[in-house]
Amino acid sequence: MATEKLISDDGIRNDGRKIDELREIKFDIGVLKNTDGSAYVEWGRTKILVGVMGPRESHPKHLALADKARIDAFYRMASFSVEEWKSPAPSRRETELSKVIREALSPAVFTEYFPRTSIDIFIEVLQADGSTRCAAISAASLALVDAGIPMRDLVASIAVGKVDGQLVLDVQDKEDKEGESDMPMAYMPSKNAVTLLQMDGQITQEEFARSIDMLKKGCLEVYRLQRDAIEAHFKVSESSNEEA
Amino acid sequence: MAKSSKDVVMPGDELGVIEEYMPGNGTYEDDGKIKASSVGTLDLDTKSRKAGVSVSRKFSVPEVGDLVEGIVTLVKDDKAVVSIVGIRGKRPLTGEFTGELHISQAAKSYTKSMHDVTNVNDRILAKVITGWTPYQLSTADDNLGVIFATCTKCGDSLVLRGDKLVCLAEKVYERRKVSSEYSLRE
Repeated sequence: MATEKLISDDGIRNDGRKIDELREIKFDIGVLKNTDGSAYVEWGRTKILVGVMGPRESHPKHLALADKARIDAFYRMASFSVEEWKSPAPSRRETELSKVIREALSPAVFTEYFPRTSIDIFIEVLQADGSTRCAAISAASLALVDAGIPMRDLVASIAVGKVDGQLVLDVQDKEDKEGESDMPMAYMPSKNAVTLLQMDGQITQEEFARSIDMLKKGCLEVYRLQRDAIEAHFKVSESSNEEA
Repeated sequence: MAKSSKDVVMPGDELGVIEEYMPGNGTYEDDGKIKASSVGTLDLDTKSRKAGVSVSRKFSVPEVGDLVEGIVTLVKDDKAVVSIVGIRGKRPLTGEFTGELHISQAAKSYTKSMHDVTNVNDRILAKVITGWTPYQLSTADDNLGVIFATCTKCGDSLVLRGDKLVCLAEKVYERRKVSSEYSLRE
């Protein structure tokens, strides 16, 4: 299978990280004009743009829920986001990711405050290098905050994989494809609640328990970066309000 | 990590316990704790014992009591359908909300038909009186009603002469429930 080793003998991965080290993550909030809230994330080489529209009137109207807002996510990969050209038609994978992202974010949103409306989350993957669902969920929760939608908590997300028999944090594309397993988790840190947990490949029960610990630690690191981004954006918009 | 007033808080942050404070604006109660639900600066009111967040960015949805501007899209005998395009004092909308103006809410005095109140394409200022779509509207107050209208015959803007709307080109008067904020005066 793997022709070259993904982790060197002294525990360094093929992109220079340690096994429990995150890629460089940069969040940007409020980057789009025509949405209610937006966020952009650079997660290593993964680049994702998220726009949130709503709460707004639900269309078609028969899909509106009488007691709460309907949340919809639209995960889309740009044709140039992967190494081989991707067909612009929505794929099975994109539809499925839209569903899991929607379900990972809905527990955090106070949908019952906005009956008969819909909140749409548009996720555009500009460049994909693994963990796009984690990056998308983390950025989308910032976009929801930017839209001013009341939330129970932020949602932070990260993946743990098994590569060359070792558990590694924050899986990149090469490790995902050539590794043995991949396990993304979305997590609400201050509620200590998991909103998404998926796994493919095979790991032992003991590895599973260790993975959960690593995932929680990773999510808390992402959470810290999210908080920094909110604080930075909030200070900027405060001072621009004073100028106006 | 006790928080104090003017601290920046974000969703999920613990602000206090319910024995100490009442949950105010931008907060919620979770298992005896008061937590923030929005980003903003913390407001701990020691007099009223309220923990609230002065929210820095708020969603834009019509709420009861809001003044909204809308375009009339349909007029029937007993009601008019209005597409709400903006809410005064809130962020611009990215979409539109549907509102309804019933004849009983159109004016303070008796109204025979909605055709005497408004016409399609009028811009109206109205007050929201229910909390979900289709939002029920009221134009009974003096400052509420049509704020811009065009001539049914020629499409020119109508101007306010005295308390009546007139088309200067066609020299005809038109019936409307005119707001005291009508945009064009003679």
